[in-house]
Amino acid sequence: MPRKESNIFKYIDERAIARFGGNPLLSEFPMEGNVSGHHKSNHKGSSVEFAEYREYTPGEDPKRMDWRVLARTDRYFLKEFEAETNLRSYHLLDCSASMKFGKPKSKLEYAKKLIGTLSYAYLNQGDAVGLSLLRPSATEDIPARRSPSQLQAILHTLDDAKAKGEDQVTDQLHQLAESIKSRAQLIVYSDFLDDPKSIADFVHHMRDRKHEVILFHIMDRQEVEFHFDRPTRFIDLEGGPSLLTEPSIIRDEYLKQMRIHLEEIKKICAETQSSHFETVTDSSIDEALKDFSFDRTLSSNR
Amino acid sequence: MSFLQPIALFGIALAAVPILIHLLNLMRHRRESWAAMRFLLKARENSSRMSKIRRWLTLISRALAICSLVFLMSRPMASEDSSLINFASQNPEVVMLVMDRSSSMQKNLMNSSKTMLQRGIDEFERFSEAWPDSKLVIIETVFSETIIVDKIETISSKEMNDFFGPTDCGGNLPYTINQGLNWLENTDIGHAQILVISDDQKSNWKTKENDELLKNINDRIDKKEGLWKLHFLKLQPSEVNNFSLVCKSYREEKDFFHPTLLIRSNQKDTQSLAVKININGDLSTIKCPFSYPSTTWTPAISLSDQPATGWIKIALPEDSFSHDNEYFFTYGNQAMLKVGVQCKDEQTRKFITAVCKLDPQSLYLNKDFSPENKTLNENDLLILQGSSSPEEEKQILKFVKEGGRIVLFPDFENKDKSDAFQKWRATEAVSDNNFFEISEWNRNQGIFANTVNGRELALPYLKILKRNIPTEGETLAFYKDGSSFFKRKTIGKGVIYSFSTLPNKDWSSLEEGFVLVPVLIRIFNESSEDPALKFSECGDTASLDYKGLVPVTGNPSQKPSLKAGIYKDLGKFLAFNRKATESVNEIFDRKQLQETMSSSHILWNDANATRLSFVRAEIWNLFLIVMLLFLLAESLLGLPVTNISFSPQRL
Repeated sequence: MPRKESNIFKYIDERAIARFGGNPLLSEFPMEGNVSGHHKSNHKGSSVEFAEYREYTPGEDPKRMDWRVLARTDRYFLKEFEAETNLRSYHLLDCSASMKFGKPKSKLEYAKKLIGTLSYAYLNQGDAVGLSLLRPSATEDIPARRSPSQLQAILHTLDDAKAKGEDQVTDQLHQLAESIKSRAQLIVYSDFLDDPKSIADFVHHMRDRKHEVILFHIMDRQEVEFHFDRPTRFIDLEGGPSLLTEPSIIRDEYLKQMRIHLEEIKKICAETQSSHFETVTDSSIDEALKDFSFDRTLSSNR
Repeated sequence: MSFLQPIALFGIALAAVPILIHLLNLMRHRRESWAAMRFLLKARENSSRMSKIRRWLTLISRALAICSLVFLMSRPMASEDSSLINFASQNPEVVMLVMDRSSSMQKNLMNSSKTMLQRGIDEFERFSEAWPDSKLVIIETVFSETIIVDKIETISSKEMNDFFGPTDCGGNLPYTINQGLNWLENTDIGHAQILVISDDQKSNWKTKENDELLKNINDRIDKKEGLWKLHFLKLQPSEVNNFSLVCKSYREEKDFFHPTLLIRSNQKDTQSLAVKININGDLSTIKCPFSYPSTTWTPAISLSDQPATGWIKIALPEDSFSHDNEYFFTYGNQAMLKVGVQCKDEQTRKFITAVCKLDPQSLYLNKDFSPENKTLNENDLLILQGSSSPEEEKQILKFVKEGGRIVLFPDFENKDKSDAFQKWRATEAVSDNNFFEISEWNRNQGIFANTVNGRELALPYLKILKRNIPTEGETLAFYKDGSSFFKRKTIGKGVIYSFSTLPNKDWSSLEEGFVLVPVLIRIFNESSEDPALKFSECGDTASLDYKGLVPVTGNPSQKPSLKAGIYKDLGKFLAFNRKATESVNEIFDRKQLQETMSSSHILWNDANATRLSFVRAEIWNLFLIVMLLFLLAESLLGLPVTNISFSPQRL
């Protein structure tokens, strides 16, 4: 099917690339790649990165024995090195109707830009990048690949993505957690308006499958501050009941509920050693990725 | 509480505006697509009761702030007995002022440039402002009659000076208050506020003599259970340098007048006072040695080169309160009847002149009398015979209407005649050896009454040859044929006596005098009935009875009932002086009066020099503060309870 003509590269934020392009984006957990890369692997092997000394056990390959240690100590030790591999980074975009909220830019559009920028960065450092659009009915997946054409495929898919339907993407996330066989980095872009318990379920599920989980919590400024000066009828984007209220009266309680929700998500992430990044749609992409980039770069120094 | 701009109170309806705006806002809400509905729904569910209370409190604060603004713009006035929260306080039907109008009220209020009377009126003005719809009624101590005024400015107007202005009278406050209460009772006034203004001078309250009356007033106020409220306002006079003058007695000698004067002062020193003596308008000064606190002084005032009757005014030098510095006297026999005679018939003139000279001590014959010149009013009685010109008749008629008396004798004209005073029939004459006989008259009283020892006048012995019958008036003596021999007619305040014949030989035997002399003497006596006033004081019954007196000293429009001075009643001078007790500056102890009048509905106030006692200050500032407080409350209620803000951050 011929691709329609559009500027798909708008989803790559040049400023963010210019700012963080030189920094490696490393995973926090060992990955299972199929080629050599920058990320720690769960396998030990020959490499330039020394890992540890271990006593030799009969049956092991004597080639990895450290003869110098044997000469000095008369004991058999094996010298082990970190294996380094590439990673598979899966970008999971929530395409439920709630993601189309936001002014001047919707949460979906903002998420697309984050995905485009990170995809470019990961592909640039030789990692495989995949994309899944989470829709209530079904997901649209682009398997992780590290080929240069992958970026174009991702960007085209993002360009076609629309937000619609009810917010029931947790099932799809469970399915994805199962379907991705080897360890991978799963970055979920969503407003996470689901019940915290269901969020906890899929995060636990992913972690159980040894995936590194990163949640990009995207919100709109209006949702965060809830400033309305007169009575408003709120119409649910996901088809739920509308609500007529005086916002100034319930603002405090609304903000309290939001704070509780955020704290619960943070708690889930803390428990599962997952990462959680909050961002609002009126902030720039480089600002939104600042912490993410800092964390990933830091991982290389640990 | 009352309002200077009550119409602004309609603005109370604006208090509904915040509620209406709230409802309109709800109706004209905006529509917003929203993603985080779960928080909204939870927020509404959990929206605390406190939030709802805050919302209502905010609305109430706004409404009350508007109410406060409306009250502020209505210019509320605080009043003494209606609290801010008692809006149901009923307006009195009548606001009554009981005014002590005694002479001492002319003194300045302590530390003020206003007299106590002026200040009292000002106080009443403020007092009545609280009830702008109530009827204003004033009763004062001189006449003790209630006067209803349509507006408060009337009290101070010059036209009403006779009723509310300063006087030289005394007063009886308890009597006046009682009269005021009587009026309230007789006119079925349910709710009244009464203000009594007085300097509490002993002589005007006579608390001992009026003890029963004061108790009665107290009981009447008490019985009304607050419907009638009596406010006493004490006005304290200033203690500045003042001399006062009263006369204890006087003595008249030939060419000398000796008044015994009591001069008092509150100035503790001895000095020589230059006392001005005014005798019939001739001014002179006599030095009077004065020593504190009082001096009795009897000067010898020379009356040589002065008329037989006249007046004297003695005045102390001007001081802070000049109303008690003057004293007025008359000298000579002021009761002497002044008779003017104008007769064209010579025999009649001679006879009447002779009769007038019978008692020179009590009758003065004005020889120069002529209706044309201005000496007409110098007479008390005129005896006229013969026709007068229309101008003369006009003057004489005015004289009669003002209280003068005239005795008329017929003219010579033999025809029906009518003048301004009487209508005469044509002259009738008897045939030879016949006379008109008088057969009937009032023997019991009046001019033709029998003498003290029961003897009749010799009217039947009169031989009357000619007669002109007067037709108007009351007949006091009749001819045998029923015609009137003598008539008495009243015009205005005066009396006209009409004889039907002349004391002339051609007319009658009246010239023999056995009837005419006693009748004229009785007419003279009847004309001299007014008592001679020696020591009259303003406000006395005599001064109230006297009408039409012409002031010789002072203002041409002043009246003896109110203002001291020399007045002229036809030929007589009358001296009216300031009430002597007004010079005794004794103030009674209010505590005693408060014990007698212990009703809780009687309120006692003292006038303050610097501010009015009943000033119902505009309390707009209170409402301004209240409004600001409500606005502040509204602002505080609008603030969040806790400062919840969200800033995106990393976990």
